[in-house]
Amino acid sequence: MKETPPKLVDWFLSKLPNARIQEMIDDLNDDHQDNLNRMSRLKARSKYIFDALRLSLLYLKIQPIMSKATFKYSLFSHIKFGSRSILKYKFYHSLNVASLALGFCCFTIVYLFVISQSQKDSFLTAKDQIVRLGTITSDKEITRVNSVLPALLKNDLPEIESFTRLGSGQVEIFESNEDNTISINRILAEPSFMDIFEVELLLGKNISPGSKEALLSEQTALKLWDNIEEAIGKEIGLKAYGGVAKLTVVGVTKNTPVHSSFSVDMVSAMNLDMKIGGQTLSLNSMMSVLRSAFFKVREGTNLDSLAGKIPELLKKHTENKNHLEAKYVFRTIDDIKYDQNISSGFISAVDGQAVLIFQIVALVILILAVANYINISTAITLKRIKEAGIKRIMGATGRSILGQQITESMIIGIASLSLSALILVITINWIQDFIGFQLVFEESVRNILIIAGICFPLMITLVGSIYPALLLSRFRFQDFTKGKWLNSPKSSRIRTLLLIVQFSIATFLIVGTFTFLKQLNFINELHNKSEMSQVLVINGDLGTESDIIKKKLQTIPEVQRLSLTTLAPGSKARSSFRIGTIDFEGSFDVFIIDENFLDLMGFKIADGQNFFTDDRSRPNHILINQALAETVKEGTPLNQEYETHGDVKTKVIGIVNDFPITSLKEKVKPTAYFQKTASDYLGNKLSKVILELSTDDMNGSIAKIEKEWTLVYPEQAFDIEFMEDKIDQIYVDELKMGKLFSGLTTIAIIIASMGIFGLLTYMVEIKTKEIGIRKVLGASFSTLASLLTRQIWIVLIVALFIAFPLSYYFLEEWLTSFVYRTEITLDIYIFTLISFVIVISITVFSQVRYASSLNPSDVLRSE
Amino acid sequence: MKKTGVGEFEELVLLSICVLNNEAYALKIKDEVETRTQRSLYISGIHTTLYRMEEKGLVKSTLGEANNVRGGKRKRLFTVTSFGLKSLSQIKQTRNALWADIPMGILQSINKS
Repeated sequence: MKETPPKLVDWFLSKLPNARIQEMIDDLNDDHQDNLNRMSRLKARSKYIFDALRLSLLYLKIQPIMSKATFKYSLFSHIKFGSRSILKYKFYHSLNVASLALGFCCFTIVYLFVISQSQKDSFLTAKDQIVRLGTITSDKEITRVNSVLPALLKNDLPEIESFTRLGSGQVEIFESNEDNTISINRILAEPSFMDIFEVELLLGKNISPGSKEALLSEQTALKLWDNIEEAIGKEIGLKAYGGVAKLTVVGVTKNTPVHSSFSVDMVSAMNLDMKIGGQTLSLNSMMSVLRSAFFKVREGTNLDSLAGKIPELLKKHTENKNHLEAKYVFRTIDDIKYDQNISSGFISAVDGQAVLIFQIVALVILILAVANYINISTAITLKRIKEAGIKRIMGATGRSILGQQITESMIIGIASLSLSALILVITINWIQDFIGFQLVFEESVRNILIIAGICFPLMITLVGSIYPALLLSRFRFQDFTKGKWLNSPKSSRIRTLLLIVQFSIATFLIVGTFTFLKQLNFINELHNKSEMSQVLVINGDLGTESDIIKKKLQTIPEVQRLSLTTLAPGSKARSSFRIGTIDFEGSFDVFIIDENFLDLMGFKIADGQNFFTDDRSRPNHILINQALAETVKEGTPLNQEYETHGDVKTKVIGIVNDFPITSLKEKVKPTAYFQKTASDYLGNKLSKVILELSTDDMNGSIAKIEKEWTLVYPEQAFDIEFMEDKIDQIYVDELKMGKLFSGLTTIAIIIASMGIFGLLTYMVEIKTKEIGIRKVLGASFSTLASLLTRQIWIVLIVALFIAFPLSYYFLEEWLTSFVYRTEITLDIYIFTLISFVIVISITVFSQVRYASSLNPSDVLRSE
Repeated sequence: MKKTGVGEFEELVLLSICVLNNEAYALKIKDEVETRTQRSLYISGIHTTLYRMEEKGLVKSTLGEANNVRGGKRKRLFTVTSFGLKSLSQIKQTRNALWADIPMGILQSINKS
């Protein structure tokens, strides 16, 4: 396919009226075609744009628009007059510069992150050919496949060049001293991993399949030894899954580039000939091992049709329906890195939806800033019509007035660019830390970004200044003499339109932020976060001393209630134990709690009752949650007995409202709550003490608790957490996003109110004379206020009519991504409306008060 | 040494034009310099340099015959003027003289590396 160069640039170049330049442009197009074959599309295009810029400069040299001397002189005078007029209207222009700088800043920051994310992994020469196989079930995507599948596919599908099965996880390694461990991300893979992900060996050799060999990255090796040569042949210990394994280092790899979405600290060989009951695994085995599998496919392979072929191929090997009827899917690295639901640890992902939302918000803020700029500079221009009229009489051409205006806008543009660059430089490190994302660019991309970062804002400013500049340069002298200058209807219509756009955007953002905060609040409510301010969790192995510690802690007067459990809500809270029985569909989680737990955490019983505390209590009593109650196959579970473990029949004595223990983005899982007596059988040891305190001296109380704890468990560390923190940790990303979102909205509101303020000030100023006359004729303050603000109220109403339905639609769409969600209610809209009315009223009345306090005789006497 | 006003890149382009003899047009010059120096160039850079050298009188250009390669468009061919050749030879002389005066010891270590 013949690729066309960027259309806009091409069109611009084709307009340059010079035969010699046109020849060069032909060359440029040929060169672009060559480049497309040799390098990535993005690189070729950026090269093209850079060339085009340089050729345009050359064009100016070959065919200058005006002689150098004239140009220098007129530039000088433009700058001189420009600065003068900017200083004259410094109030409005500083509003301009401030709003533009804020707009540029937000836009640049957001897009730097977006570009940095999209540029990740660009060092891989065949990024789009690396794919991961998974299967799609009705409600989710499984990122791993049967471990024997990849080899079968490689044999049967010529499109597949190579594959590696892969696992990754955090492990601790040490050289000789077990106390001196370092924590790293270990990758279990096959030797082909190195080729597929283009990890370079610096020293030594690649791992051999199934061996006890390991590769360390340069960085990891240097943490253990002084230089990387020392590492080769050394034995290292690896702590994982409670055991220690010994591995031999056979090679050192180059560090993965910082702008990659995966990191390789250590690669070790995956053990692949797993035998179960003496039999090699196959698709027909009773047992199966799931692994994530990455493939390198041929260039230009259609991934969907390749995935579609898999079930057909497998018919040769198996009759198992699970394999034949599964829906297979290949995911590229780019697919994975924008979707947290399908990333599986090895490739780190960002929330694609959030990225999109931020992009839109940044763009909207930029539009807001530019609208503001156009609005205010048009207003200033109208004030300067008189000046332009006089210039005209003195013989200035339209072109020179245009040039004057453009120079002025460039001064404003450069000022706001410098200001935004300053803000950026000051805040960028802080923002990177806050988001937890480092900005890294390749050198070539960075250069382009710097050029774009300078040109784009200036271009935006220029575009924004075209309308007012044309207004001024096209102005005819007879209009001036006829007095038709201050309120040209056309300009006021455009300004009204821009104002409506600004108001709508601001409304949208305010409603969006409120809804977001409401959703966060809703989530906290489901966790009962407000009641958790004095709740602490101690982690540890309670063992047989659990009764002792319970009694000891109860003697502390500050302890109100306490509960011994295996469960405390938090980001990593999950059951280590699941049970499946014939009476329920699917298996369910099991936790051990006591009679105080529900009460302490503020969770309610829906039906039946809590564990008994008196002699009615039986060891076989359990509670279940509503989600589990719904999966029962027959009848209602309350007061029924079920065989859950061993010979004991457990009796359901209560059904608990579903309550969340991890993120509310997932549905609450079916769960059963057993009593402590079951813990011996279930092997699920009590590991947490939840305490509710009532104290003003938190530190003192904690010290008392620690004293008791160390008396009972001298060998265990005192590991304590606040329940509030644990809940916040679950929603770290959401809270961050909420903060960023509120930050951006605040900036948008600041920009919008600067616009309103500037415009109102302007309107009051041009109407001072009218106000004076009206005052002389006996107008009251309220008449004057309504005269000045009528238009703004109309604009507000129109904007609300546009923004409310739109925001409702989009937010409804966004909220559906949560399983548990709040509703968009009327009060948010009413609140937005009221806050707008307040902001506008304050601005309006301060201005009107000023205008009406002027003495009419002073106002009318001037001129 | 007389000042010739020929920069390093200009010298490379001039020499490439000489090497290419009668076939020196912008794209080909770019390829030549790229393969010889192994760096990635911009076509606009070549054009700017060629234009500047034409202004200085180091090269002159003529429109070549039309052929089928570019849809019948005529290529602009560049040749080095006698002034250009003179400048090149001056540069070479200066360099040669300098090389000749390098002491033996240093020359050997240059050759080694």
